[in-house]
Amino acid sequence: MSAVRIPFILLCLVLIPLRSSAANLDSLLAFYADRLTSHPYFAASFTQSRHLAMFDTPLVSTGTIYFAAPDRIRFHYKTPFESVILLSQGTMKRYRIENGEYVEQPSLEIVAKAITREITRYLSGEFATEDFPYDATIDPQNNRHMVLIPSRSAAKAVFERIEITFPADPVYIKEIKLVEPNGDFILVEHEKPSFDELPDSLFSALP
Amino acid sequence: MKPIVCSFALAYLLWLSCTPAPMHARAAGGHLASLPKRAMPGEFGGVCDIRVRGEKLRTRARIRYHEDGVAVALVDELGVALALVTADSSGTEVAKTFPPMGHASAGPAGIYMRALLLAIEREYRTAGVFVGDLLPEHTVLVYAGGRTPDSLHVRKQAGHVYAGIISASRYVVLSPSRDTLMVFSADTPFY
Repeated sequence: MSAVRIPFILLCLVLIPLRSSAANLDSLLAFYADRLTSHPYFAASFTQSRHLAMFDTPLVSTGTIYFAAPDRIRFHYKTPFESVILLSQGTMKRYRIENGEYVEQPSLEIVAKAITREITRYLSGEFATEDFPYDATIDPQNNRHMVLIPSRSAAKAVFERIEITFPADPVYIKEIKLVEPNGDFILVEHEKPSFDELPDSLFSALP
Repeated sequence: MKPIVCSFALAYLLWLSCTPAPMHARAAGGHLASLPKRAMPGEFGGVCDIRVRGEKLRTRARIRYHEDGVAVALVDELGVALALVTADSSGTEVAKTFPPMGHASAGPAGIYMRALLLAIEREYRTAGVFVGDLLPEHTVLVYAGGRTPDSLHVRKQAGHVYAGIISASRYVVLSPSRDTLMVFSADTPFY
């Protein structure tokens, strides 16, 4: 009997902390999701750096991001050239602005959609849901740093991991780093956040 | 004293008239471009318009030219790489491409890249004459010694991006759709 008991007790000793750790992670994820969704609107200036190993310096874009939960997003780029990307309810439109006119751009829907879709997921706190296709971990030394590892092969082909950094009060995401399998990455940094209500027209298709 | 000065001026004028004109390329539009002694290593790039399936797409290109090779990328404002190409100094190997060019391909692109680079290098070193015909939308046709782009194996290739040098600080990229060559210079806004 004792021969059976001892391994059982040892197993419990191993499993209990794991379960407790998982519960802790779940509660942290829920906490972040709750804080993020406490504001249905989000706007901020952003700097987006594309790091490619083949170049010494990153390719940098700047602009303003507008987000309305759960799935509407507008990127208004100022550099490298003025342009707008609209993502609303799964459809994407891209425009370049020439002399004040919005000219629709041909779009590489698959890749661009994947990136904007990922950003939308995090902004709306989807990482706390059960069907989220990533395994989340939070740095025990730094609760504001979350790492997401793709758990499905489709996502694995595109991203090796995604790192998210929250500010002290996690009502928005300060940084998102999308790391590709070969080490190249995109870093999006948000600054000057605002949570005022945004007009619907901001997310609708442009003339 | 006067005859000496006159003789000197005359000799100088004679010397000037006999000295070969500085090497330069004359663009079809009448522009003159000084020829370089050698290409300038470094990163260049900027905003450019390319054509994708007949539609104009504004994007940006980056070129890194160094002694060991050349790297070229077309990357849109979102950070999506439309094309990435690298080749060593012999023009061998090309890294990878992304949509809309299709799947990654190493062989043919590497060969044609090499052909282009060698052709440019050869002409650059010997005749030193390159003609850059700057067209609207940053389009440039590059050819050497009066030859057509076809003779440089530029226009025959499909599905890849190529880079070359047209002067010390001007670099050229052929778009994936093969109908656009973009030119960048050191003073192109760099993003």
